[in-house]
Amino acid sequence: MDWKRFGFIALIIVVLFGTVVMIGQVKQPPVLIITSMLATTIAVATPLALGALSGVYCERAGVVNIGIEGMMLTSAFFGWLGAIYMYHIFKIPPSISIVLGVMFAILTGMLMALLHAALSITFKVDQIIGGTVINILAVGLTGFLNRQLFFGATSVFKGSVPSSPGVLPTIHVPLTEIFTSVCGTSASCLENLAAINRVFDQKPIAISAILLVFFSHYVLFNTRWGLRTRAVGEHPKAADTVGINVIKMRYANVLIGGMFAGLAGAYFTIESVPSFEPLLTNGRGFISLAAMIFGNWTPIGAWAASLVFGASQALLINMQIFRDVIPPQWSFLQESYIVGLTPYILTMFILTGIIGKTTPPAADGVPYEK
Amino acid sequence: MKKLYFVMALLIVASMVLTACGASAPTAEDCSKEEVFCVGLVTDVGKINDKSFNQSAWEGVQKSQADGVADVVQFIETSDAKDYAKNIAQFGDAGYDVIVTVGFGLGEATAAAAATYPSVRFIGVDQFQAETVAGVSGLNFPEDNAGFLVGALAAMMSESHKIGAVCGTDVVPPVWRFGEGYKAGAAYADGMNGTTTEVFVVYHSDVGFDKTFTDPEWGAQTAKSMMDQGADAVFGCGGLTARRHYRRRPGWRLRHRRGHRPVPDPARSCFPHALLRDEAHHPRSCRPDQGHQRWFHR
Amino acid sequence: MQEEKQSNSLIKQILQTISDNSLVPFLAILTAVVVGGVIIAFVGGNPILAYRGLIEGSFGSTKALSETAVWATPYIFAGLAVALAFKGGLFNIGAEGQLAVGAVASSLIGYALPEWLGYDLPAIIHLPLAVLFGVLMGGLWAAIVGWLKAYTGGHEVINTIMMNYIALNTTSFLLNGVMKDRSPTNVIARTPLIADSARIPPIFDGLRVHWGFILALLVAFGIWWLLNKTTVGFQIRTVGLNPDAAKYAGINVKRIIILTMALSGMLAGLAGTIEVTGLNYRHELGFSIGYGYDAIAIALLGKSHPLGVVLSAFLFAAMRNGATRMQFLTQMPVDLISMIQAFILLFVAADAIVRYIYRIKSKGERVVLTRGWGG
Repeated sequence: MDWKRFGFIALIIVVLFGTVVMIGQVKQPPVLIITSMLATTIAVATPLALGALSGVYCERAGVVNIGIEGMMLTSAFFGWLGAIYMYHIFKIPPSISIVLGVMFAILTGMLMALLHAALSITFKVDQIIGGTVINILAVGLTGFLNRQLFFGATSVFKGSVPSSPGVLPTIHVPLTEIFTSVCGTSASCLENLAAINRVFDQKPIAISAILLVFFSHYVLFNTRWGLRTRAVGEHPKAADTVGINVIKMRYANVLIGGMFAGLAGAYFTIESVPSFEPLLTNGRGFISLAAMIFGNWTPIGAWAASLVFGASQALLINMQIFRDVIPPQWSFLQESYIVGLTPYILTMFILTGIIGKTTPPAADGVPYEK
Repeated sequence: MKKLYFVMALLIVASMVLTACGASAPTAEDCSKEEVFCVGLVTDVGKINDKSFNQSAWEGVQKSQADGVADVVQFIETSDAKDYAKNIAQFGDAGYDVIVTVGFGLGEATAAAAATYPSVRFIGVDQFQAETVAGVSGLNFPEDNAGFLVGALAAMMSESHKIGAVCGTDVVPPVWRFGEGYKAGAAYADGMNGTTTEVFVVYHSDVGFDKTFTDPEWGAQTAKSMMDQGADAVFGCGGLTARRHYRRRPGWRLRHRRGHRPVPDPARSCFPHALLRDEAHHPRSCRPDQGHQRWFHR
Repeated sequence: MQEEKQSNSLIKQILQTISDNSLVPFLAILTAVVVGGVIIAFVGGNPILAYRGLIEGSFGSTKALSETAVWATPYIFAGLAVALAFKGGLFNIGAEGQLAVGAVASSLIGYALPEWLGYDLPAIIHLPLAVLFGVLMGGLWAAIVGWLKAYTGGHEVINTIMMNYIALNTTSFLLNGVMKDRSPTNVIARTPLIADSARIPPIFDGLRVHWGFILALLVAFGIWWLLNKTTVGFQIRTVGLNPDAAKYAGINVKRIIILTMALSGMLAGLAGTIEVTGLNYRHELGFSIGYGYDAIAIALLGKSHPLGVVLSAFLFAAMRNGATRMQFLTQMPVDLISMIQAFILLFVAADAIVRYIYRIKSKGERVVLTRGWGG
């Protein structure tokens, strides 16, 4: 484990939070600011972390995946579409249609991954091409279907966009209830408790993303499956000689990667907002690609990188909320374009100044030929 | 090689058979005739079904057809700003009678086209004219008024006296007018009721211009962040970014039916009603039985 | 005499390349078009009418042809930028940002230089200055990434993505601030119009195609010449194929990495510059929606070969340009074009599928375009 990297990431997140607290404390109590920012950080990091995990699985097995963006976009669309169809056409209760929608999203991610796998592994096409095809196809396909199904009098829903069955519910962690007695009658303590509780009240995909990060780390580095995956990505010839089926392993891992990208897609349209808009992933797939490389192709590293992006987003939002209390000597913080540069400059700075060279799996991007 | 020809022949036959099934509507060709009244619409960079100004304008055009005014209506979506003139010319050359161009970005191209096609009437949605351009009717909307109403309403409804607005980029003047109107409205309500309301207005200016209106995830996160800090009414004014904000029971959610550019429409003339309290229970409709007063003197 | 011989062999070589490599791509495009047609028919459209519109809109008249060339110009430059980086073993996702930087820089020179100097410049000085400044800034922007890659090992994929965002944000900042057109009628984030002396004239009166298009073709030839006929080009390709071997062969790998990135950025910057000086005469936010990403597809479709890039840029340009006419005739969504483009790339790249469908024997060679993440 690379503690230096995580130390710096933690330091940066503290600095980002500290800046906002310093500025915003005249308006809001620090606890409220910090907990609100933490909640934003975790939520924003969710699709990035899942996308990065998708990349980690693919690339650890030796298949470059720049199609994360496309996989996310397609699964966001089909997950949402599936939920709507289940709800409006098949009259399935909303809670079940939402869950089915998540299933559809994951399945879509897998199908896109299958396309990528077939191109990259079976047809041995340059792996960048497979990803690019997926990215372009995703834009075209989702835009085209979004039009054909929901626009115009002849469309399935007679030209209107039907309301989605809703979003996944927030899972309440009963911290407040458990610790009420600690506070006694102190009102400020209760308020703080409620604020802290809000950080833990996340939605299912956000929670599962964190669990999956650690699970993936365990799988990749402590299990036989993980060892084989890495062997296939580092030295497929050697793996083949000891009896590992390289093609099978690669297919399996790319499909798993697709499932993660699918879950990331489900986050957009089923967990965060109950609607789909063309191009709603807005380059987050590429950010997760960066997070993956940044994390040196490890799940936890990639997640830490995603948190930097999440924290920066929280900074951006809060800088604007507190725009009118920014002290004059810090006035540059009022320019949202300048503040908007934070995550990108930070990433470049950490990457080049502290981490330096990242090492991809040795056989990453090389088709396997016996 | 034989097989190759066979496959190719099969593909060609297949495409022809499928073509035969497709519906054909030779309509645009008739527009050069005097008696056929044609209306064309050119969108700004974006989609026709953007649930915002492009779509509203297009629905208006379609209504003109349904009402029997226009015989043929067509639209062209612009995918790049350099195509503005070309797309307008597509209609102009085909002899259309009215061309609707949507968005201030098309202002110059519309004025230029009006000179090229003097017999065509142009309608420029959201196009400001410093000097009157012959043949172009520019439509502008008082977004600040709308923002003002929402701001006043929000400030009166708020119990925590913290209200927010999540908007697209303030680079786009209408969006900025919404935000400023919102603040002014809240201040007005404060003055009337003797309250002090904190107003958070956040613009999505931290990304490239092409992304600012199509990022519902950002909108949701921002709204949630505001609610976490105590805001109990959030106004969405930014195209798709502001759509379908975070739902939470105690929170009020205010938004336009059509993003940041409301187009006057008889069905929506009772504008304040569109600020529905809870969409789940009052699905998008204007409820004439609940007049303005009820909302304002709660 | 010798020159003649050389150009003779060059033409021969080009013809040879075309005939060798054209059958499968042609069939691939045909297949993609048929698949697209089936989709159109499936949703109740008329594929023949749609394709008629596409062809009329892109090649049907001199005006349409001119517009196709206008679309192709930035595509060729940006495609070459990505392709050159691929040749050098680098993956430049940042063409989008470099393009924006080039456009901002050249528009600044275009409108502000006469104001600063206090007198008008002749076109022969002003135009090259504007173009060169844009090119240099684009190159510099990318060279930073190259330098980071060479000296700290920071991965160019991350850094180009980050530099994209930085470029776009900075552009927004400038165009809303110091560089905004202050005329009272302007409400948009855009620069003032550049001076007449900084504009590239159109080739024909009344058509928008400008000399920048000819420049694009010349530059494509220049890149081919650079890559295949010069020492530097050889070094770039060697580093691209195997940096370790290049190092042992005595090539200064770090210098070549920076140079490749800089050249790539200059080409991307040129794309932005030419759009400003040749077409829009100003830089405006919202211009260039995705040239940088399309450029990746164009470079891949053209197999990173300059001629291939020109041809595939033309194909993409024709489809984008013809889309208007197609939509006018059939009201089909423009997204259809993206789908067909994806199919084309799919079938051209996975030529095994095409060979299988049409029963063409494989030559048994596989072209290596990119080296994954390089490492």
